[in-house]
Amino acid sequence: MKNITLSSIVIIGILLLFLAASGCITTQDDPKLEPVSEEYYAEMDAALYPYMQSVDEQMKDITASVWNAARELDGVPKKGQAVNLALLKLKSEIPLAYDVERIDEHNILTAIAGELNTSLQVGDEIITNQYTEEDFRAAGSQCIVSTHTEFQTGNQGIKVSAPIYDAEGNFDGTLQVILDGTYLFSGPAEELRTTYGYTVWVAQENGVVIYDEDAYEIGSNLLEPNAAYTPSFMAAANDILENESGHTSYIFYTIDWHKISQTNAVWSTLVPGYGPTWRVILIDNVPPRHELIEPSVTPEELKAFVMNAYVYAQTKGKTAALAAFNDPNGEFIDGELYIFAFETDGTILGLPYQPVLIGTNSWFAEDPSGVKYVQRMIARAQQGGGYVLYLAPNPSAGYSTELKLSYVIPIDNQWFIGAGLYEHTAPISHTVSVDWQTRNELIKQVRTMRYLAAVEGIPAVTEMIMDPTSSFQREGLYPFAITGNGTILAFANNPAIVGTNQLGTLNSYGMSFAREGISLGKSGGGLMYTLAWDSGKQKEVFVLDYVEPAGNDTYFASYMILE
Amino acid sequence: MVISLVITVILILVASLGGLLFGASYILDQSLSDPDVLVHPSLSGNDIVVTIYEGRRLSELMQLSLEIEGYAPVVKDVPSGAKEIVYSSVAVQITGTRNVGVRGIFTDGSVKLLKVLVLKFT
Repeated sequence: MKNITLSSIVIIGILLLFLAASGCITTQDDPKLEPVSEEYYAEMDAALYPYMQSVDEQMKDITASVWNAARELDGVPKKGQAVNLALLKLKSEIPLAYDVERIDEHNILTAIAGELNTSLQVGDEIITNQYTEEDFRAAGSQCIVSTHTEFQTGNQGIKVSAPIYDAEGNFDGTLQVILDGTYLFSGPAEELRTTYGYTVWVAQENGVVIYDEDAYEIGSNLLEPNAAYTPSFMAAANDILENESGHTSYIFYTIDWHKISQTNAVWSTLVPGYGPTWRVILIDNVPPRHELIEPSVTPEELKAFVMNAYVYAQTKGKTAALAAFNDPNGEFIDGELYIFAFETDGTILGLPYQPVLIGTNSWFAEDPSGVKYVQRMIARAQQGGGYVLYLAPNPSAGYSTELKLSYVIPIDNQWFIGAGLYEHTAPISHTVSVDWQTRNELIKQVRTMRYLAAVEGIPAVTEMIMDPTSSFQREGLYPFAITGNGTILAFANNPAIVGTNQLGTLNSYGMSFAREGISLGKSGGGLMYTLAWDSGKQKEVFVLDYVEPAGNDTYFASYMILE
Repeated sequence: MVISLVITVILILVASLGGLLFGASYILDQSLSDPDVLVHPSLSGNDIVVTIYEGRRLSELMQLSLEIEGYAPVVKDVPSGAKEIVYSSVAVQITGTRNVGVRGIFTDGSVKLLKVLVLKFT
């Protein structure tokens, strides 16, 4: 029996070799590459330059802040209020920072300004990016910028590190900042797409992709075998990794992975600090914009679709329900609607069109603005269900980023289901992007309020919120403070609601911004979308909120209007 | 009239007793895996909305008792054909995470736990 099986394998192998040699099996690499004019590449170069400049400026600001903060911590004891305040201040200066850490010379965490729900505790050993005195000596007066890393917290990104010295000038450990590497690139990339119609992907010089519009490509290595890579793409990738700048063309899949076409690219190299350099590749493989269309499904129909699935899950059980939800030809596919399912820890249970993702964890998944949308869906499900807003690529519109409205409902305390529709006519559809600089200012504003509260106390900051001339006020941002029981402490944009309880105030999607915001703040803070009443315009407007806990059961927040 | 009033009072007391026990140690009914009526509570501002779906004893459902951990139960009548029952302002000032249960009170006097869910109020 074993001989027969072996013979069969050999015969099949010979047949495959024969077919391959005859050209019947080839890697898909059609159509043929067409020549591209120098003028065309020059136009692409002209678009790449300002993009490189904006990423470079962000990194220069970040590394300068980290370096200066490290110098201020020279000679300061490794833990205590002085360090805590310095970390909070540094975090307020870097909107892309997830965590700011003080680490001793033995790689033990001595202080942290991070997310409240971080798994890291003071006293833990930091096992990623362990740098020695020799490393920093080699870096000279530059910060070390890490390779793309998955950190102990679960977040992925880049770490920027600077040495700290004691009063005698001896190496005393490091100051490290974990950055949201994706948003470093995606913010300006959205502007690039809007202004020029191009997009980018970024790879380290060792081939690891550190940014791509398709988040699942991040972390892959261009030098490793990949069935999706065409021969011309592999040749282009080698060219890109071997040369600091240039232009090339290759055949690759369109963003929807349905067909292949010619992609033209120009690239340049960015040196973010001491560490791997980054190849920034600008490409023209961007789907054309489509006209705004009226939604074919109403929010009420969306809710009814999910409720129907809820009954199915409750009556048939989890196994049968997931099998039905994951069937791409099943009864729970209706036009653009389909049922997704998650565990409340973020593990994907059901995605009928992306079965390869089932079983993976999406707890840290972010939309293009940095909203951790799976965490927002979980929070909404834990309220018993409701609508959630986030940005997502619309498959029926060339995967352009659009506002998605989902309705979620818990089946029990362990898992929930939902479905979503694209708000095609919403003000933040693909024609209007979230301004990345304003978004960063939003985060900086709230973190500054948090830092000032640690220095001067919460009452001082609530007074400053009401004062339009205070140092952290910014045009187009609307800061406020709210207690854990829902009472507004300060809100200059609508003083009439100061002192009132807002837990019961709902928008037209049935969301309580107070309950959502407090919930987000309690989990460590972050970004979320909502509809909020604009007293000036006398109507509801889409806003992006950022919330942080200020201590003493008080939360600071601010929002920008997305219209 | 008097008899029906007495029955209602008894039912409310039974439900209340259930509510008082609720916070300490919630003993799940077997009926939860196959509830007589499928219901679902969700938070909406300061209200809790209990959606009524389906069930073999739907036509016998007379009242619903909403029980929030740490608070007295609230009993409301279920009009015939009602799709949802709104418990207005029951969540005023409630924050944090709490167990929420829904009991059904049926025309034969039986009381069944229909749904238990942990709700995050803030």
